[in-house]
Amino acid sequence: MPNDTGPTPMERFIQGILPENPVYRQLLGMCPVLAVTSKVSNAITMAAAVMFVLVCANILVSLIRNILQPHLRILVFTLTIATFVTIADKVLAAYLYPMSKQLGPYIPLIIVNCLIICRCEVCASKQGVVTATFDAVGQSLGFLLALVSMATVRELLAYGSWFDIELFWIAGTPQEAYRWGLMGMPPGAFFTLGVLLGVANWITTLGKKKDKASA
Amino acid sequence: MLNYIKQGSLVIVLALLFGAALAAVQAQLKPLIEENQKLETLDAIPMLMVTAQALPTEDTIAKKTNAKTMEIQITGQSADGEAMDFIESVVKMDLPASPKTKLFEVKVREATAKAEDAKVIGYVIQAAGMGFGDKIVTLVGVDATCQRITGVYILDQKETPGLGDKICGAWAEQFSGMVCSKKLKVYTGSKRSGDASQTGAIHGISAATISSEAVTKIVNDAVAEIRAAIGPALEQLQAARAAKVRKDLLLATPGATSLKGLSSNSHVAVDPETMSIEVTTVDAQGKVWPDYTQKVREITTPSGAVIYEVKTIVPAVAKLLKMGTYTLERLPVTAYMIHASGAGDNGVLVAVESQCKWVLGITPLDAKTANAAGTWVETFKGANCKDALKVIQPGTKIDATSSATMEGYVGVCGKSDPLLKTVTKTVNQAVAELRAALASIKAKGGK
Repeated sequence: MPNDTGPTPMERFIQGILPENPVYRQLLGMCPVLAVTSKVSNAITMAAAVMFVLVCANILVSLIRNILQPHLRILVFTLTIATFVTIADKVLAAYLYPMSKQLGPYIPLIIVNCLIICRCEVCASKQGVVTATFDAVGQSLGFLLALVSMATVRELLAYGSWFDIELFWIAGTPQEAYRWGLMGMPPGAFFTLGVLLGVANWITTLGKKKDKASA
Repeated sequence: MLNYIKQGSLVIVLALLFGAALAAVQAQLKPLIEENQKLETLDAIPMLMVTAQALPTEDTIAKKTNAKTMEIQITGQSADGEAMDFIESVVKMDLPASPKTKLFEVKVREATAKAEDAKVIGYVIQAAGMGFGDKIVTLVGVDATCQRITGVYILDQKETPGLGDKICGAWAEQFSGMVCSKKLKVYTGSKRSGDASQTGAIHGISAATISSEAVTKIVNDAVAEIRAAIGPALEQLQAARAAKVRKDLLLATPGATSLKGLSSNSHVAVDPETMSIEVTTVDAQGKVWPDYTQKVREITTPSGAVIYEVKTIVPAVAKLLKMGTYTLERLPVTAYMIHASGAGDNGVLVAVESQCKWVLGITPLDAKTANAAGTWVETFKGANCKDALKVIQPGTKIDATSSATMEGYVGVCGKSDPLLKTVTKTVNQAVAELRAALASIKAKGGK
């Protein structure tokens, strides 16, 4: 394609997962990161819904990128995203009803997740369908990784379980004994996000120092 | 203008395409989503009706829910090991006054019985209200007569995890059995006293008082709404029930008011309108012999109690009555009766002779209690009720010149029955009430 001058599909894919992780590096999509990471099962459902919307939106935007009016592009992006989000919401309500109830308004709120509109803008409206698809999958996996890492910390501390499997339960002990209820609540989300962001930054700095040392 | 349309053409086409796609998705998934919501409500209903319809034990229970017919088949074993297999069916009730209200009628029948034989065990309403975090949606169940709350289930809530969300757990169980006539109130600390189901006291959750109060308010409002919705129907039901009790009362009168009781050949016919009873005997040849007629008069005493005065007319007197020599007023009173509640589902009819010195007889008004009672019911006949009646015990000593009946003892020696104790207590209360009622009538008559 003539105007496809960005990174290659593989680069896009790899970058999305860690080097440009949407949560830890770009700080995008903070709303679901804080709101639905109290349990791993919620986090995975959320990430799957985001993946569906992001892949569909990216493919569609990439297909119509040549006939897109520059000043109307945000409108088209929003329209596209809103449609796929509504479809995802309905499908969840029909086939995963308890999950849909737990996630509540956060599924419809994917519409305002900056991650998706950002990928449409940065990649899909400039590059071909293959690159856009790889980009969407890579970014979604990065998002999934971030959500699951947050949820793992929070669920372990708040409920003593992982993916709803009781890990620390010893017969006879009251459940409250190993539960740190605060971690399941919004403050716990902020604590976890802060600590994990710090860890992510620290790892990046370590990598940069190594690069400098070797240079 | 044309330029604008040209520029916006993509948006217009996309909007149309997306609109069509969404319509298709909605059309496809709507029945599934609605079924999910229905199933959730249906799943909660057996628990909501648990005080009206006992469930099998937790480890044997199996539920089969059908959202199309709105039926839940429940199988399992009761705590006594008996096999249980019944169907609870749910009917959405249309309320013209408030069409959005989700009110359901719950019926139950044996799995083998026909749908028409199902009897109403209660009503469930979906009610919502503001909690601490967000709207709380609940299902509230009441029994068929709207006397007691049978259960409360939290459908949806977003209360504080670990504190307010405790409303979902065992906490909501305390609503079961609360009387509907009393407004429920949350108590924190230890200010409660008496029977909580009567006073309407709800334990608050520590550190979640607002959530507890929110649910309590929702339940109060829901009960009021159910009462408003089905009140007229319930009044009819209660009138029908009162008429039935009156008929039962009349049917039981000859047995209770004669010391020797009725023979198996006796036939009792009653007319609830005129409150008259005709007792006849059918002999071996099938010939009908009139025994006597009884006239019952309902008296409301100055203190508000309702007692019944019974007069008996034997055929010879009836002839005189027809000739006009006697009037009904001048006939002596055979018995006074009172309908005492406290034992059995429908209470007990207690009859004493006109001076209230001894009991003529008692009859439990529902067949279940009557069958369970057994032969000791007969021992109340003629029992001296000057003092409170006592249950006879194996060691009881009775004067040689007297008898158990004369001493006011009831029951069969050596056979203990918890029901006998309850009935004796009820009869004692009834006799005291009757005596007070008669005294108040006499005092008024004297003036």
